[in-house]
Amino acid sequence: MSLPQSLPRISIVTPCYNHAQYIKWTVRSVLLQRYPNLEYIFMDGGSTDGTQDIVAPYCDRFAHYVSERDKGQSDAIHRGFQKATGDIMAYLNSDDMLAPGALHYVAEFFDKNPDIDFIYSHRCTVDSVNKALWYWILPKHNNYLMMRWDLIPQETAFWRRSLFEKAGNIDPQYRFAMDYDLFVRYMMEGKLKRVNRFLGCFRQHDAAKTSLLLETVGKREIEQVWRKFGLQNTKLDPIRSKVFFYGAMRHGCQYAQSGQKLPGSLPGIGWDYDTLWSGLLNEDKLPPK
Amino acid sequence: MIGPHGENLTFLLGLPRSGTTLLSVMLDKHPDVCCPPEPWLMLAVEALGKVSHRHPADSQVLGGALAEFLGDDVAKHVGRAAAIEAYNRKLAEAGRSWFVDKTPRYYLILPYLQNLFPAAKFVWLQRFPLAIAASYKSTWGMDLPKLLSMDIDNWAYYDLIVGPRRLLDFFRQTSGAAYWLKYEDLVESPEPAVQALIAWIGLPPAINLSEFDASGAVAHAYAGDKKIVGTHRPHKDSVNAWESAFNKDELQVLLDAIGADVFRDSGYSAVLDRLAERGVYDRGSDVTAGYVAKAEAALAHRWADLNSAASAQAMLATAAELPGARPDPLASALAKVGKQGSTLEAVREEHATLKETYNKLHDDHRVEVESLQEQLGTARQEQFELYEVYSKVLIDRETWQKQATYLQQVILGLNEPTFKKLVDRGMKLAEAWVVGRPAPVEKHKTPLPRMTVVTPCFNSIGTIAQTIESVRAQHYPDLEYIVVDGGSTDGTLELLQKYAEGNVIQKVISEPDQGMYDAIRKGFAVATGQILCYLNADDLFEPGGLMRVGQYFNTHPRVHLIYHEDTVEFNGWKFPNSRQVYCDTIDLMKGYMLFQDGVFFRRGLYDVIGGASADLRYAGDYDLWLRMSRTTRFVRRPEHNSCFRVRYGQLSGDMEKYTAEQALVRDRFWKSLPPIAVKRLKAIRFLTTLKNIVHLLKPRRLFFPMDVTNLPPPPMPEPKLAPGEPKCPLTGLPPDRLLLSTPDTRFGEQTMTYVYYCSASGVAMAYPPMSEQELTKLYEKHYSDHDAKVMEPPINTYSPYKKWFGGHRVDKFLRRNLLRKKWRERVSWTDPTVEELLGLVKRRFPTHGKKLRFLDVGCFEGELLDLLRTKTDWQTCGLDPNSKAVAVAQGKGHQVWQATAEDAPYVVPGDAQFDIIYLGQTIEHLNDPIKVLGRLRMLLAPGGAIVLSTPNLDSKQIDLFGPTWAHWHMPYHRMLYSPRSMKLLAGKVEMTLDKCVTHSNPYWSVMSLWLNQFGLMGAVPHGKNPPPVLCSEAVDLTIYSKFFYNWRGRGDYLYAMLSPKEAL
Repeated sequence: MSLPQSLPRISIVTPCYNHAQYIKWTVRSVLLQRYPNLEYIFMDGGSTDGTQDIVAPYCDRFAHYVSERDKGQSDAIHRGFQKATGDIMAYLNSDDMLAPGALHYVAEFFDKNPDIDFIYSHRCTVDSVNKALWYWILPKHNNYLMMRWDLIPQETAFWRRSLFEKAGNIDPQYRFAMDYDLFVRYMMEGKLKRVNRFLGCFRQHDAAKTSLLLETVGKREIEQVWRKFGLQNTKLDPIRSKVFFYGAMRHGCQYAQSGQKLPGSLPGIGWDYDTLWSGLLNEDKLPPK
Repeated sequence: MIGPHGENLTFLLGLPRSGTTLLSVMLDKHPDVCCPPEPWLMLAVEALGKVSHRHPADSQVLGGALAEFLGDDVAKHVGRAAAIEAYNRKLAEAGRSWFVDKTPRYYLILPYLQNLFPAAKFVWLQRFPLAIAASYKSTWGMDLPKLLSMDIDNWAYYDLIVGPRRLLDFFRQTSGAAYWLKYEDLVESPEPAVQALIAWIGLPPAINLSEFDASGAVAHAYAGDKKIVGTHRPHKDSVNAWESAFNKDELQVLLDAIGADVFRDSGYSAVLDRLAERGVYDRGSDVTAGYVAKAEAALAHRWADLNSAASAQAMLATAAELPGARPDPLASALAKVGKQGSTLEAVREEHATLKETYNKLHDDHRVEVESLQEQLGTARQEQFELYEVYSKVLIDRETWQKQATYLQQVILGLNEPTFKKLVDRGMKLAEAWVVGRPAPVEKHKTPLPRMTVVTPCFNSIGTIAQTIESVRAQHYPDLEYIVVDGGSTDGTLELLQKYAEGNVIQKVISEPDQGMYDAIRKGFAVATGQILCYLNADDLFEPGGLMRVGQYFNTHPRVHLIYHEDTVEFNGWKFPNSRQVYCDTIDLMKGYMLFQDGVFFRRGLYDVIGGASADLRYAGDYDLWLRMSRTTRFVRRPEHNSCFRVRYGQLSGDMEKYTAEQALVRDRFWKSLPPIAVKRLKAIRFLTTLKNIVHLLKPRRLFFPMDVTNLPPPPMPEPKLAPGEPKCPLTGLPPDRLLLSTPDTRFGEQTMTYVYYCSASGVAMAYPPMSEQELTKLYEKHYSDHDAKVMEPPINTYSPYKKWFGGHRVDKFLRRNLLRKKWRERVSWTDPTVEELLGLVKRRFPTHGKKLRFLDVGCFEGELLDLLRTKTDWQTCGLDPNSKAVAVAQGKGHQVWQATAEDAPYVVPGDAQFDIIYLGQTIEHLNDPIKVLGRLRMLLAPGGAIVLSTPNLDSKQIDLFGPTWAHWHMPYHRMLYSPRSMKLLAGKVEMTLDKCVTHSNPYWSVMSLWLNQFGLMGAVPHGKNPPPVLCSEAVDLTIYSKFFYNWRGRGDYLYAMLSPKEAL
């Protein structure tokens, strides 16, 4: 078979440390996209729970596979992006997943909208056994709001290389708010858009870093980002933040209750993410190269 | 050989764990050097003449006598001679000329060594002390910071505190004869470092000392670092290991104990800055001195222990005199105390003089003091007044602040209610930002009403188990099941008890009764449900029946009784029972019969009419419906919720008694009616009649009743009880209607298949379910068998369905008289797939465009691919699970993969995408079409489409041929679809149905005609020559369909084109 029309190269970096339970789903959700021009970079931080064994059958599909101790997640992503050569870039944490067809969609979107540098979508959340839990339905993109609150769903964010070169790599000193810091820089340089669908899913589980660190390090680092970029907060901001956050949650609830179906999800909650993938995630086979 | 002053002898000094073994192994590789692992010899030689105080011969006498006999001089000579002898013997054994004695703890006797061998050379391999401490921890598990802080007397304690200091002092004094090498330099560049050392010692250079194999001597030695055995060259791994080995507090203890001066003197001052970054600071030499003093004191006591008490004092004195050693801390401490005693006296004297002077001064300045005190008093007074003013101001300030905050809150609206209002307003704003209006929230679901099912039984062990199982399989959430037994004697009761223990039956009543209706009366009397029904001991519920009833009652609160048509199971066949009309009291009076197992009513209705009549034996149900119809309107539901099982001989005997009792009941009811009620009933009668006219004029599609003139139907094996229930893939619910039951009409397998229909989605599905393995076995048995025969039905058997004569009179007339010969000649018998396919896709994919990529799923031997190759310039590929067929297709030069449709994403290369994926007569064979379509969708290129062809459930030919339509083809076809269900199916896999056209073909028509001739007991496989009469009739039928039905979506099979929903 001849190759289809020249598609842009997409680079995805996955930093991983001790996520043996979920890593198979993550890796398969990327590799089974059937995107011909994919550069998948896997950065393992020297996991000790058998992650390497689970990933072993997929190793030959990675453009780069690194397994050594690193200085944390942001450092791994930073080094991964240094290796990346793609026209479109993203990173996917080792417990999140992409929706089927997400990469083709992103490639087509960037092709049709040359003025947009960065896209993200609504957020769909699953639990530790891939059952859908809740949604965030986000409003149209607004720089003022998104700069002040860390609400861009990272697992659905994709950006052009030009933006990456202009606004820089991820900052390895952050432990929690590295995506927030990065996205604020991108918002200052480029044009963003929220697409009305789901591009991936985010996993909420007990050991997730987001739930562990939000109250302590997260808060501090978010404040650090505010200071760094001089994002001045008015006295009404706590209210606005609440309105913004609960608005997204509430519309997520309404979306789930109404039985509507946007691409990248099934109606309601409680469905298995693997159903969306037609059962491909739980199997072991891979398409030939 | 070693000379008397220590010529050709080198001492390799260092602390334990500082890499001396590494260096010794490297030196040992030199052809002239003998460097065995750790002799520890000189420590023993030095102890010559010293006696432990625990020696059994009186240690005091022994020590004193030895000291006197040997004296300093003799001991020295004897020691030197012994050491030289020992070294020389080792050298002779090894055949080398230069001895390197590497023993880490020689730092304890440095002056002695130098005194004994003035010509010997000293090499100090120095290592960063914290790294040594980390190595203690990692190698020996020794937690030095803990030992230090707990002040435990231990050799490791001296190693780290006393060792570096003594070595430093020694090397400061003897700079000429000593060589100072750093471990960090050694591992940084091993070869140059060791070559420089060799040169300094004065040995000829040797090559490649930094690569070694230490598996021999060191591995078997008593002392020495065994870690080196697996190593073959120096490495830098452990240089910075100390940083992670200790936390901040531990590092502080270590720094205090070792002393910052040691760090500075040994050239590690840069590390102090790094420690300071981690919050570890130099706390001054006083702290360190404390540790050093403790260590030295403890060490001195150890020496003292070794020497007998008499010579202890002398030894201590000697130790104090030795160059580099510290003065005895004990002695110096005592001296200090004495000094302080004398000072105390002096201080006391001074104090006395000072006191005198003070008294004098005090007397002199009394006046001044008094005036000052006065001033102080006034100042205090002033201060007090000022304080009062100040507190007043403070209170004022607080009030002002409160007011200010209040005002601020009022202005900004930060008080509670305003805050809430703001939040609400903000919520609305946020709502406005969100794209897409939220759909109305689903209605609040009320739980299903409690339902009671009563089963009367008497000696029915043969049938009741299936009845109970069918109730259990309903999975109704709030069900009460009561079985009333009339005192059975055949084991029924034991069976019931077993089910009652499993909580399938909630109540079992067992006592003799006056008949069935007495039993029912008893059952309903104890029932707690809101919906009641009773099910005889040989009847069944159809899958999902109770759920549908509960939901209907839930959403229709004003309906009190509903009735259904039921299904009839007879000799393994299952038929829908005859259609029911809308009935009222007058219909019932005329003898209209409701199917009792399909009637469900509310408890209130039952109570109002006073319950069942216990005196009736046969027509009790008729009596119930009659009296109920006086109170409420009956509602007919077009579903099959229960199944009536007929046993041969059951009906004939009882029917007469039933009719007789029916007449009795009717009379009784008629007499009880007041005349006005009769008039009223007659007045509203015409409404029911109208309704029935409309109802009966509706076309009866997909309704195949049994042929009652041909009872009983030919016996067939009942399908085995399958674990699951049929479930519609599109709605996820059990189907609500039974269409027909059929054996295998293509290959003559004697298996029964029931065909159910889901009216919500329009899908017909086969039951019992079959696993993939069973299906594969069947396909292998029949599909590749080219010798399958046409099987005529056995003599004297007949189809259990009434004959389907090929349509209405008008249809037949038109077919015979309107068609022209020219049209008939134009009908082609060749395979029309390619034309139909190209006709479907030509608008969407114009042929003059780029080469289309085409995948034929289920390509078999590649016939379609052959045709496409001749007619188009597409790139064609195929996919088939049959390995033989794949080999044939590949032999023709096609790109074909061997896999099932489900595994397509795993065999098609990752970069291959297709514009058209074609499933020809495949989708109806799949158990899980959604999964397969979802996976094939991933193979589509942007703008591509899935095209599929499948039999059409809306086909006109079903109306003509009924159960003998060739496309039923059970059990191989698992599901049959109509254009409507195709649309739903497309939505399920996030696609849209772009186009759906139907066609008819003479080949399929003749198959149906032929089978219709045989009835259901025959079998007509593919590829046989049908009788010519049927062929011409099939041609007529094809033309007729083309004129009247294909374009209305009622052709024999359909082509659907599905394309992914555009998300951009």
